[in-house]
Amino acid sequence: MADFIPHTQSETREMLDVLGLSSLEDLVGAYPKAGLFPELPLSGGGLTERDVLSEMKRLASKNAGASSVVVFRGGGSYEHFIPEAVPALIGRGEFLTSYTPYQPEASQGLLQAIFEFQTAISSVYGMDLSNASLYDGATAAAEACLVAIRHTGRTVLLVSDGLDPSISNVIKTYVEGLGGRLVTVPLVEGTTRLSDLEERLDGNCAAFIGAIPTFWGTVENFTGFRAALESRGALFLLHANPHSLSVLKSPGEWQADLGTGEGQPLGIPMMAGGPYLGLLTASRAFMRKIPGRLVGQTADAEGRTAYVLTLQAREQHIRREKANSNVCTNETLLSLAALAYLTLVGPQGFREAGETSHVNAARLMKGLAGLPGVRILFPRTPHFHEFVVELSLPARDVSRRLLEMGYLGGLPLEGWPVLGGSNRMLWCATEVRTSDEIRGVVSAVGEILSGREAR
Amino acid sequence: MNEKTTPVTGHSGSGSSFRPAMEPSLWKLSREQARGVRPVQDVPEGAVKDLPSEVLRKISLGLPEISELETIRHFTRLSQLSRGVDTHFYPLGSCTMKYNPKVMDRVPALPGFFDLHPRTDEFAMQGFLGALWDLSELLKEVLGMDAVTLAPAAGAHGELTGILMARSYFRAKGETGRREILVPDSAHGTNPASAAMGGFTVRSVPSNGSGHIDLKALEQALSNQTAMVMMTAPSTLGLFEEELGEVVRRVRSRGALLYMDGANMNAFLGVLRPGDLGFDIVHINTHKTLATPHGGGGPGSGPVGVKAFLEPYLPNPRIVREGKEFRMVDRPESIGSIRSFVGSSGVLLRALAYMRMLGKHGLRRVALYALLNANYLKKKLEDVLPVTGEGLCAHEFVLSAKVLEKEGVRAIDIAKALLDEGYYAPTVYFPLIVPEALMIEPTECESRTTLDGFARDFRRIVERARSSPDELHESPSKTPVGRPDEVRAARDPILTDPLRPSLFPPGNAQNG
Repeated sequence: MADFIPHTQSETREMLDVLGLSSLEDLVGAYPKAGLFPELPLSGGGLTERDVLSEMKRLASKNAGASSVVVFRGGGSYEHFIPEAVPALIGRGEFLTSYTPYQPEASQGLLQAIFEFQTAISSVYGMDLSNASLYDGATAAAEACLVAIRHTGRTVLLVSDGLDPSISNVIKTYVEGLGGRLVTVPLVEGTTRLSDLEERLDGNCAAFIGAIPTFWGTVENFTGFRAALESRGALFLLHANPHSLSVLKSPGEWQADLGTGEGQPLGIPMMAGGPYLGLLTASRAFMRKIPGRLVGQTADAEGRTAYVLTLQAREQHIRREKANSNVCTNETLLSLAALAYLTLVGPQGFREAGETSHVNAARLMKGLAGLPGVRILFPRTPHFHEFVVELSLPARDVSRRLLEMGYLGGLPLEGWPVLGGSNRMLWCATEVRTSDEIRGVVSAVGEILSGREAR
Repeated sequence: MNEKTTPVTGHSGSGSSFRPAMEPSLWKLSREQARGVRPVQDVPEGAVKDLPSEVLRKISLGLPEISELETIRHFTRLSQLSRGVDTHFYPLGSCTMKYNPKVMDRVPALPGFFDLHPRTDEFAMQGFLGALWDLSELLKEVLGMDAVTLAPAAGAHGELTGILMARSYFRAKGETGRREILVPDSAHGTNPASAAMGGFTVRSVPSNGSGHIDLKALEQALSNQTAMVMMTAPSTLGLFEEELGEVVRRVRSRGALLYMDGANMNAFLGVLRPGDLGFDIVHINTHKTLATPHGGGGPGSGPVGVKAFLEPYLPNPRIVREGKEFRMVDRPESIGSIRSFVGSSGVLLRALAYMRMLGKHGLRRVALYALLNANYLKKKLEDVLPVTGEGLCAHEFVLSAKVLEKEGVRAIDIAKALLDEGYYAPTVYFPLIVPEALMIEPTECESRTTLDGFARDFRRIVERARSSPDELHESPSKTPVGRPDEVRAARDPILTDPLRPSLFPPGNAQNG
């Protein structure tokens, strides 16, 4: 039986003797008798290491992962190149099996790595500082909205229709407790207009949140947003895909108060949706208002550089119900993955990856646009690495047929708000796609739409 | 950008040559134009010339430039300046720092899991959805609940989920006057913080002298404004609440809900089910109990189990089975979604594999040996420092170092001395109701040899606290640094590396 318990029978016996007990079952003497040792739908003896792996492999093999299909889908999760060194480094036992570094002297390496992560992420976002991570992009955006509500004492959040609707949904769930209310700012030709923001902006607004790029792939020009929001005392929040910030203007350059994002594109596998990495960056004015762990640089009594968890008076274990957030467990290991990724590819590689994603998506858009039965939405609006198309057939059917041909095509937008629609698809190409793959999927879509593909 | 702050100098210190050397920062190692891994082969010239200039990045990326081997050495050295369960006994109470089998690291890395896009068409991810379905069915049984959501990313996220569900439930019943959540003063800080995030007023309920909830105080606090009472079981003192049955009866009689913080579920695994104890909602920290290592603070996951009457309010999406097919659906009465995608899949898959691997008897042995180890170690230490609570403990126990007050030695000094003896430290100053608390959780995975060694060293440290207390104040002396100046860290915080060059071109300090 596998259970990772090291005791020999005689050790167990002797330990029970020390306690004056006759059996292991005597240890639960303080538990109520009713309901002890329930029946469970598991085999008694369990499985061997080989058997459990083969069982999990059987389940894994029934999924169309990127090793069996060519991925042209994004919408919040992206296939990117992950250097082999990333999993090797974060798999080091001292990182993998450590807890939140409450004892700094025994955790200096981990603390320094988190400090370096904070430096790298705040750099990418062009902001003064970053926390040590939150659960995922959506919860990071939601926490930023809570910062805005608490900071302004106001409850209305202006949310661009360019923000991922699934993130807006999470914000809605999160701000409910504090009486927060979402008001959407519509898109025109795929972008938010300053006049539409100003129309909705009044003394009840806590913040506006926009996206870089939008969920629909378009790139917004936020010129004038900062001034408009500042004049009404509202905060400027930008949710950005970090991969795009190698090329696109960062939240800091747009003079955002807080910048959030999903860190998954930075060396973290798609992993069926998680665990991912919530990024939260801020200007220094919000240093004491943001949630999550922060690592600071200091020194020990002899002047050695040392790192510690700092500004803990913001946190739940000190402030309890008055804390900035309830967050405790975060995504530190994935912060290390993101840091290792950014270090390995460096500024030049990071930029080249972003540029290549953009070029590949533009090629894909051009290819699809040339097919009968395909219409690109807002072709004149700048796009980063995603775009929406309208097809002459239901997107769900097209997706199914593409999967049969070895492609995870664009995301069917049936049931989605804003630019959603049953014949619409959100396509994506990242730096890992080759010209052949792009040509291949374009011709596959062409065959499907013309009814020529082998059934 | 910290321009006014000078870097803290990294000299090696005096008279402490046995301290391992610290590692220079990435920005210290950075050499202009050095490159590591190349993510792409060739980038066409003018790759982004179609984008308008005003949306393009103008500032530097600020990332370090070093080779792949230098990167490997940097992170390897950093890892060597940290401790984990793989290297040290880690008796950090309330955190369940047990061995997480290496085979479980392999599970989420399987092709079909790690490379699966979360928005894949459902028919093409049936193996994954089926695994989540199997896990929630299994957790229903382990927790004794009628329905489970796998969405929460951590224990505190699970708490928030449960609290928002309570809110929706009472709103649907028209009992909107229930604005209060009661939390024992021994609770984890996340409990009151989650309640406040959910828009509730928090009321703290005192514990009695033996660390159990004070029934009289509970009775006084309960009213028709009480929405929920949050309990930790076993309690944060490592005790089974002796009057739990009575607590349940009283909370029920006032129409309030009862929440169990399942952070300590390792003590119940396969032995006792929260649902059978009378709880309406429970979360389980799979990263503590079910085989995900803590990763320096995360990731984790915090599935929540509920009784049938609360099922409609579970977060979206729900995983349902229709015939032989698994689907994700949204329900109208749900509290909404709480994260981008369905769950922390990589963590959840480990939990499923771990429970299957251990089987029914193996799960039971987890709890029984967690109790055996805790009680054995408590027995070895109870004449060294006073223990809170009488009789058998559950999976952990709390010592108080208050008796060392006259020597001027505090719990933190004991903790630091333990670092020098080659251990990680117990949890200190928690729970808040025990003065100078040292909370010790050995887990089922430690051998008697380790426990005996720890008890011996702990005893010697307390003897030294009495004979030469100043020595303890100077510990730790074998770690890379001595005690960091936390006041200085918080006064004018340095949160990014001062060695990183400014991102903005000179004369254009745009952000600030």
